[in-house]
Amino acid sequence: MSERVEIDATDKAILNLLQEDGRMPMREIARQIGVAEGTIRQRLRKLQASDALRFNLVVDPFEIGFVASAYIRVRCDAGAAPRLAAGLATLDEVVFSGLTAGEWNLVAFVVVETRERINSLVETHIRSVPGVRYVDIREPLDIAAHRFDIARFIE
Amino acid sequence: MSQRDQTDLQIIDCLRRDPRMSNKDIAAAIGIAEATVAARIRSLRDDGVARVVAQMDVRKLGFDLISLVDVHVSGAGIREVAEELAQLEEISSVCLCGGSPAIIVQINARDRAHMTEILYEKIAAVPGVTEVVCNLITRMYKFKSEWGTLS
Repeated sequence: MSERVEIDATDKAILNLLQEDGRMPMREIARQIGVAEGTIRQRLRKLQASDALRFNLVVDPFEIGFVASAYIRVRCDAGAAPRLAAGLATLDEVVFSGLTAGEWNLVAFVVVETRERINSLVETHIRSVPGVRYVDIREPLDIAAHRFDIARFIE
Repeated sequence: MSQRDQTDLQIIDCLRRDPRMSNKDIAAAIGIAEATVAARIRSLRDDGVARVVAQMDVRKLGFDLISLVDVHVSGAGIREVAEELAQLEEISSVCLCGGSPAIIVQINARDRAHMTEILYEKIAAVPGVTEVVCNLITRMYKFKSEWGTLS
């Protein structure tokens, strides 16, 4: 279990600006929230040192050649699930892969360059795996919200 | 889809490796003027193609549980319901799927009590929501946060 970090009002004010523009210069942040530049550097260093904060370039895949995305949900023999989820995680097109408790044994999310690729990916990497019983594919028609200010950090 | 040229892709490549790399260093790395780098980064951002953001780890903020939840809708517009769900602070992604389920959301909860509250009080209270089917992530193998819908 990872240690929880405490965030005060100053941290929050700094983060609010950087969540909007992660390249904002320190002196601009200092100017906007009225805190010394050194304090801001020190706060960010501390959050980064505890692996609570990172800077990331977020790219819209649909702007650079990707055309489709899908949730792929699988029901399979219980013993087959961990290896399948781990295997899917190694594929470039798989954005998310996890074991689940609920209606499905595992859920993955893929972003692909052709819609046909959803089919070939499922055929090659899921349906051909022994123990797979049921595959459900849900293609988002639209995305109403997607927050980037939070994420699950995985090494 | 907007067509991005080689220079944009080179800048994207630099920022992927080091999101806070200075415009000056990017300019030197790819052999263009610093002012061009600044203008390109602004345009990538304004056009909803790419932008650098600060991200916090949900676990460090105390959210240990993540679920993917199917939300079924009846008697209300899917989009209206989706917009309402997007307002909930514990929901970090809302996908409209159109059928059954109409919507799939990702929710972040501190603990089981909080998860219960989100599912059976907050989401259930949105007009038009009928069933919720929860798939709790028990082990995460990958969570890539470099992709996102920006516009």
